[in-house]
Amino acid sequence: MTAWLDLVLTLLSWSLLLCGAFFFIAGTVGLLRFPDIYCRLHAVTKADTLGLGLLLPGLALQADSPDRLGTLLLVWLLVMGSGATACQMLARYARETEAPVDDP
Amino acid sequence: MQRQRSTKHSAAGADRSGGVINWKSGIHWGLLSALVWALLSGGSGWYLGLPVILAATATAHWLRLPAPDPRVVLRLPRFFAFYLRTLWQGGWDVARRALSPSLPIDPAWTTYELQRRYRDDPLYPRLRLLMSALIGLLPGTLSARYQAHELQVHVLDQQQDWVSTARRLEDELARLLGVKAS
Repeated sequence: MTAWLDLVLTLLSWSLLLCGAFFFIAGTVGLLRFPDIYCRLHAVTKADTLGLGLLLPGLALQADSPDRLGTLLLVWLLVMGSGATACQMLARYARETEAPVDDP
Repeated sequence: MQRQRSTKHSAAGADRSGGVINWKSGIHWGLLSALVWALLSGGSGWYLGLPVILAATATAHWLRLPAPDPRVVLRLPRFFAFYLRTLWQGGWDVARRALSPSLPIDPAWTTYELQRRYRDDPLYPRLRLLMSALIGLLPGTLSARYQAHELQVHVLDQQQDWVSTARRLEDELARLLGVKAS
């Protein structure tokens, strides 16, 4: 029974880790392919936040103690908050410093 | 009344001088910062943690952040469920576009007008600030700044229906913060 549970948890954990990696890669591809800073910010903010949100529960399932889950959740919330704020500030800075000709 | 005044000031960021020192909110933010440090560090490294906690508390005080409302915590699960769903949609949407060989994007700058019915509530500036930050995690939208009642929004695809998702986020945020519709 414990062996089964271990197997299920390991499979679930690796599925989450692979899904998380997929979104990080997709975000990076978007960063390289999208045409300007604003589109790139879309890719980095959304895909990476979701990627981290999948990686962290995947890691938590492999952690030795359950209190790690709280720590990892907190890390995710902090990264999500700082990511959303930083993204907005970068967009604002780019918008304020870009050439007026791009600004209809 | 004190609470309402400090809320207005914090969100607008206009008046940071003088005024009554709000010790209650200072203690709240101090305790919250200490809790975050204890969780992140596993209860160690207080020689580094203490200055960080003091700095965080001083910043909260300088920005005149009101004490966190405990009722918000009770409303968090509902908001979080909505938020996780849209975060998933946003991440999937941008991943799909980035990986698609034809790169299906049609970016543009536009504006989003915040709903009239929330504007009279004293917590409205806070709603606007959070809306401006969190709209960046919805599918296809990104905010650069706000002016009066409008957010400057960059959309990844003009054809996409982003307005209804943004409205939904605004309603959910209003419910979370306790902003009353007039």
